[in-house]
Amino acid sequence: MPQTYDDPTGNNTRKVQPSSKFGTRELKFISIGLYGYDLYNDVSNYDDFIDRPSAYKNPDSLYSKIIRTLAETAEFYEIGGPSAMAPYSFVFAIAAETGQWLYSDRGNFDYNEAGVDETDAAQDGRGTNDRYFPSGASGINDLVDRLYNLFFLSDQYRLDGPDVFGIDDFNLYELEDTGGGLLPGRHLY
Amino acid sequence: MPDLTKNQDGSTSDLALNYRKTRETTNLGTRKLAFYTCLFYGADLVASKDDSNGTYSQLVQTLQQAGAEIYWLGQPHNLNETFIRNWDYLNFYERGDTNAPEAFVFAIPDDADSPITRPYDSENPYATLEATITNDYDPNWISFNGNFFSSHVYTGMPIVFSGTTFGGIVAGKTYYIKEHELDGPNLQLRLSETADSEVLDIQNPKEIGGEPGPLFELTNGSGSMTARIDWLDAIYQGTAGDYISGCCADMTYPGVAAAGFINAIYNRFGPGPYWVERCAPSFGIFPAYWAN
Repeated sequence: MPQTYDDPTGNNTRKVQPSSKFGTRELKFISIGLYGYDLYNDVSNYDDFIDRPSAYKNPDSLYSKIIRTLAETAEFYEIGGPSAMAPYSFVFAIAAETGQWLYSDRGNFDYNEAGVDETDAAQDGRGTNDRYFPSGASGINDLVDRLYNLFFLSDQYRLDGPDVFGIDDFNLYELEDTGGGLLPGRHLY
Repeated sequence: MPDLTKNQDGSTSDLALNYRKTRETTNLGTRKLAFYTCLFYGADLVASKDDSNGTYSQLVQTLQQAGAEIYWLGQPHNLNETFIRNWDYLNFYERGDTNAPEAFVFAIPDDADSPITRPYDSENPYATLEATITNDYDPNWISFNGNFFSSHVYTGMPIVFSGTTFGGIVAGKTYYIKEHELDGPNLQLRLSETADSEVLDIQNPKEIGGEPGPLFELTNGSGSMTARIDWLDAIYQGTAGDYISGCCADMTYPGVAAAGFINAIYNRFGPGPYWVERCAPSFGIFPAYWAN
């Protein structure tokens, strides 16, 4: 048996590649944030504030409804919860190939043919993407569509539905691996 | 088969209500996971990312040899890099900061067991202060004549009053810090009577507090009473050796160091500025003390 430790074969075994596929499929981490609704206390900003920490664990809390709504189209691998630190948002992880994850070259969710994100925010590293507006395709179309149906009894092409929960709007961010943590990055909606 | 979703009067049954609850979890398709960030100052993690036996590769091996079953492995970054969004308002690092560490995120099955607690400073295991209430100006705040343990008071920490109490506070009962602020050198607190020990993962174990419940409303009253806070470390069994240290807890959320991993890195690399910190899920997954 030849000695292979110091040749390229051996060297290749001592490399490490980042991966999310240990025991699971490839995962996407997403942060959802609501404007005007405190998920942690489960109360809309339009109502009198009710100090009831952890109310998101109650039956039929909006948090519970969001999870069930998203589960209609995405396969969850992690569900985070709102907290006193971040009462308006939480993170979740889904299998990357679920949720109708589409990279589009339309609208301002701007990937070119090489898959390079050309949004302003990706280019200068600062600022915020222009908001996605219905353009026929989004980053994670099914999730946005389901959330619209939940929040506004509408769909993403009808912005005039009733505001059921007193939510002004919502955000979806794909979490960016910063090395120090996974933080909201690419604006999906 | 009876209808389990409704009671006879048509109202929703408790059974149905229970199944419409949701709790945070990572046990979906995998084991319960805990995320950590490994911070290394003055290293070449980024430059050596693709190198055979590079520092990044050696660090990951070191963690695995310390018992870590890695379920998620992130890419190394220098924390002074330009990311999609600006995180300067966290205790992050500014762009181009030459003192910023290089770091990567990883996840392992979470086997942190019930912690044991011990005083951070055995010679000074607790501190007491005199407290007063000025309820008419800003309701439900208690003012103290100084600050406990410098600024090391965090949300959810237990506090017990003794002596002649007022404002509706019961002597000997444990309250939990809900909000805190400094008025010059003096600490001001709002309290809760309850705390949830499971909300922020292991960040707020019940042994040293928890996520505070609803605000405790003080009745009018004034005077002076004695308050005591125990300054405790919490040490977990488990692969990572999670360690909530009173020494580094700041005003809001305590840090959780992975002492087992830090020791393993010490054994491989010797003394050096590095750190492994447990992440807490919030609007992202990062060390909670960064939000202090």
